[in-house]
Amino acid sequence: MGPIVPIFEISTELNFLIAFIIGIGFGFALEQAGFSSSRKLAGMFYGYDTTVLKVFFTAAIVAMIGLVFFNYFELIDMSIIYVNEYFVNSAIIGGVIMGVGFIVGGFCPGTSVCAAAIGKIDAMAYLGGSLIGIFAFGETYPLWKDIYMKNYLGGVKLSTTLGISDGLMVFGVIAMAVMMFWIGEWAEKKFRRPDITNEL
Amino acid sequence: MNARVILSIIVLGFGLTAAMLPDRKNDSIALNERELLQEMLLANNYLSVDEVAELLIQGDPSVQLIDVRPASEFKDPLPRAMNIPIDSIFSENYAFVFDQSAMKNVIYGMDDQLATQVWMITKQLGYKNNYLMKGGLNAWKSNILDPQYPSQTAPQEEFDLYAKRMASRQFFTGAKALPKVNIKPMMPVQGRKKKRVAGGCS
Repeated sequence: MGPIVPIFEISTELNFLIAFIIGIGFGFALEQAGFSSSRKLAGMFYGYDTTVLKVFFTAAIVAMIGLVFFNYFELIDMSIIYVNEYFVNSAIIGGVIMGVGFIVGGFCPGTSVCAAAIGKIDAMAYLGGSLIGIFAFGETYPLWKDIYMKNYLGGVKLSTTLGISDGLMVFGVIAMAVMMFWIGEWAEKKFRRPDITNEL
Repeated sequence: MNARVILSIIVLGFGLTAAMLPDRKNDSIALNERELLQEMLLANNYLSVDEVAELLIQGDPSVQLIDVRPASEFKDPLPRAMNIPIDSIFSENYAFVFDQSAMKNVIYGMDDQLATQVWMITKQLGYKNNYLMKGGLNAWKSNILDPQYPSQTAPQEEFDLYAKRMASRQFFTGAKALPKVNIKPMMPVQGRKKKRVAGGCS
């Protein structure tokens, strides 16, 4: 058995429609998790609120367990699943820019759209900034092209690089996630701040 | 026990199970035996030599002829054919020839044997637009380059096909379109020679 939606058989328009529906679901889940609040997001950096860590780690381990078991029961073909390509330099530089932007602006790109959608003005300003950045990058692309494309490794998987099975990798990540959940809980108690739920 | 502890134990249990599952590779592209058999019985995976000749005469630019004979036997190919021996179909130079969506690949060999193997491999890899020229070069030679005149009692279609093949033959070899007809009198009349007048008064 292959993927539920065969990639070669559907048109681009239908593909976009499916992406749109999934996108709405994603935005809804983000908003429900409280990710439209920049104070909640920034709490991750100061340790008083680790919702971000919990939500993303939960999403990751649910997806990982799902894929491993679906693969085992022949419900999915792992060989045609798209693995994001790895440009080493871009990943490092982009990561730093993203991190700085996150702590300064209080949003990551996705959550800024989410917060702008419920009418937060700081999120709209943040979104405007992102768009200006995208435009500037696009216009000056030839300048960055060499750095951007350097050290291309292709669609590599961590498990392949480490030489372990996918299942063992999943176990490793789950063990790490559980550990991080407990550390997060501990940090929330240690760096507790006054409850902000009512102000959000 | 507190809910957090229970949840931790459950996900760790899932992780442990996942770690112990054997690796399994599912291939949704490769066909199983039944599907392959079905594909092989499907007429639209094949092109007859007549269809190939017609495509070549029309000069269809999307047709790509692939000769899978070994390089040492690559002689007198069809026009515009490229030689990709079966042992080099996966080499970097040629892999893109089979895995593409723009051209119509017509695979042929001396007979059907090698070409069928190559065609089946492309099918198993999920490549599209690969067709098999049925009968290979042997069929090409006997049907297009040296068509046989149908028997007198054959239906009209066979005569039409024969005329078409002779026209193709002219296109590909430059030979005369119409067959050389040796008109042999059915019953030669013997003894027409003028006889000397015998007798009389000369």
